[in-house]
Amino acid sequence: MKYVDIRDMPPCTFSPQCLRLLDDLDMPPAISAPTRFAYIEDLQDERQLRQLRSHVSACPTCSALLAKARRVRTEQRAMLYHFLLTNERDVPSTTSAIFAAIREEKVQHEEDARPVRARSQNLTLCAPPDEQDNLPFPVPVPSHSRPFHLRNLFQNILTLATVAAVILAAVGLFNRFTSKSNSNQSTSNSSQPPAQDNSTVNTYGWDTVVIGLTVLSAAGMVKSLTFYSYNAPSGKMSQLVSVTQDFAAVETDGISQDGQSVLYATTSPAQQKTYATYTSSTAERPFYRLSANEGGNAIWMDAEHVLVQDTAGKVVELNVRSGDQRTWALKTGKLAFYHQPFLYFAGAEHADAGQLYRVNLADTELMPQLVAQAAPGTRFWLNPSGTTIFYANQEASGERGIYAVGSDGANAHLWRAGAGVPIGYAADSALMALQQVGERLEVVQLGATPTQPEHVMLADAAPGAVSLCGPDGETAVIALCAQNIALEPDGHGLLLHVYYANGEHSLVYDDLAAGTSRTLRRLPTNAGVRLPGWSKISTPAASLNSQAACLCA
Amino acid sequence: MKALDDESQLTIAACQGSVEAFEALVLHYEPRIRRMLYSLTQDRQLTQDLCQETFLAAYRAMPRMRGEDLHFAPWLYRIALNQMRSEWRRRKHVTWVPFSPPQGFGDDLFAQPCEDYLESPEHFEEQVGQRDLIQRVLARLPEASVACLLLDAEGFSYREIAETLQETLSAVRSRLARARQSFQQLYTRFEQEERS
Repeated sequence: MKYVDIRDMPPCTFSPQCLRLLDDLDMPPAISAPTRFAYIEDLQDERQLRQLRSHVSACPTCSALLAKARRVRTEQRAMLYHFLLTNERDVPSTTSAIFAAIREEKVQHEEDARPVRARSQNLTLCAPPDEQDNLPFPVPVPSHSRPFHLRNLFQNILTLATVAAVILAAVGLFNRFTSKSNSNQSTSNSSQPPAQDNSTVNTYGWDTVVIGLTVLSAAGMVKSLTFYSYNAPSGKMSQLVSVTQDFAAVETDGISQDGQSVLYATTSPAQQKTYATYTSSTAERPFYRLSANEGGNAIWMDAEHVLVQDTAGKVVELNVRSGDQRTWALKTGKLAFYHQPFLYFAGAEHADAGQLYRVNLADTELMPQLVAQAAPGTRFWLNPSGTTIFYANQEASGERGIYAVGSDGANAHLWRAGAGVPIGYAADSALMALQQVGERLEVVQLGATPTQPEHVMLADAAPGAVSLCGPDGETAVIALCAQNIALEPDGHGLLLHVYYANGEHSLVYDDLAAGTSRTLRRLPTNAGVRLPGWSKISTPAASLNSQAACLCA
Repeated sequence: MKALDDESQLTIAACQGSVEAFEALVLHYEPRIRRMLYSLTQDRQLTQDLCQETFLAAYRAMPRMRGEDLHFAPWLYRIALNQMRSEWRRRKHVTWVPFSPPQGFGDDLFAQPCEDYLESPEHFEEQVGQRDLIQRVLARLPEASVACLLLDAEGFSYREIAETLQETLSAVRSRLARARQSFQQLYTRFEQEERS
């Protein structure tokens, strides 16, 4: 794949401002909240932002620059957040000490208040002088209080007058500036909320794909679960962890934002669903359990928090390290993804699972907002900047193609007509798609806008395959299922789990940069594959060569 | 920043004197304040002291605040940063490397961010956990820029950062852009030094 080097591109005078307003540019204008007060430079920023919005889409230099800056920003945020978390663990909690100090202060305050009341009662009752002498503090003489009060009043008036003078001066100055500014612009009183890019995409070091392999018994039970890693640059496949145990079902739910943990769930024969993570440092770590009929899917929020769907009408946020949790009352069909502060989910109360909703988890009252309407089972893809959602419509109803909609549900439109399903994003955040052409599966990188040209990255992504869904594939139409497709976050590599006409199935790795495709492993017929995604999990020293037997048919 | 789901009510109740409400806020924010302070000071004892002082100061000040108008998180972080600065002034020296920008890596708010820093080697962030390296980088940045970067990593919006640091939105935009650039350049440089 060809990478765009910013230094090879023509210079653009807007580039510094694009970098400065990067976060604002990533926020859709519709979400910008009007402000009641603004400084002159903030208003100028608003004007510049409007200019840049129309400029960036037409400027390849700024587009490439912003794409790169987004990746750097995401990486820096992840590093610094990890740094913060590590530091948190290094210093013992002070919560108990704070609680003790507060309660002590409260008691002290109450004790201080009590004698005052007693004193005033004594005064009211005109206690004899000898009793007054026994009081633990001098009784104030009433005549002293008045001058004291007057002095305070005088001080307050002086303070108020000073503050008022400063405010009036500031308002005058402000008006001068704004009247000047208003002559140059019609509307200037809105401010763009900053972007909160919590996208999980990180192109650096995400070169290891995790593969979950299950071995099925004749009765359809899972007899074992093994996680393997395939490191694309070294071409090395390694076993990470293996659990030999009977499971009724196994699901994988993705890779954490720091790239170090796999989220998965196993259902026991007794129908207990256990949610767990795997990391190379701590191995498997179960953190939550539900009955199987209540336990839905789970998604990562960040490097240590997950959301678990409880089909009893709840969503539970869990800290996978500490076990801390909180719960929202929310009916969902299936959790899709989280982009701070919004949870996106398919299906809701009285709605089919083809509808994508979002709720702001920071709100005190959750109000699901419809974002997109699609066919049941549709997979939605949030772009790296969190502003646009893509999805495919390959149903008979409506025009076939890939659709785009703002992450707030605005501006739904056909992005690209025809066959093809989204599979992820390239390094420059361009959408990547997989489409059938004749008897081949083609990997295509779409343009940044519908009018820009698209590039075929690989003409035959899975030679000879008839399905990416199951062994019953047809030869005329190659069925595509998202769970058997894992695109590297920078669009470099693609791992597919494919089925052939003879019923065999394999893992295929496509190097989209080199334009090559090769079969990694042929799999036994009783093996099941889960692809949680690409990670930063380091490859163990021992490669799989010695264990090749467990993967090969 | 991701707030507690009932943070507004807790803030109002705490302002009205509810110890239980304040304790709920402490439970949520103490780890966050602790990690922020430790990231800035790299001194465990000082962090613990400042953390307690921050919450005690907040507790004492809350009855004077209007809970309906109070943005608790920026306000609390502002107290924490002020406590830290006061302590540094009192001590006259800091245990960590002082926040003085090195030549060429200053955080001039008026300078334009340049795009060169984006062209660092592709393997810039191979691992997230290079704590010492990050510490070295942050030690070379101005304190306000470090605070800006850390608040951004915590999920604060520009408005919340501006409120915490008591700066304009525009200043926060400039500071953050410059801080990201300086961070990247220093990180790359230190990483290359370590490798060579």
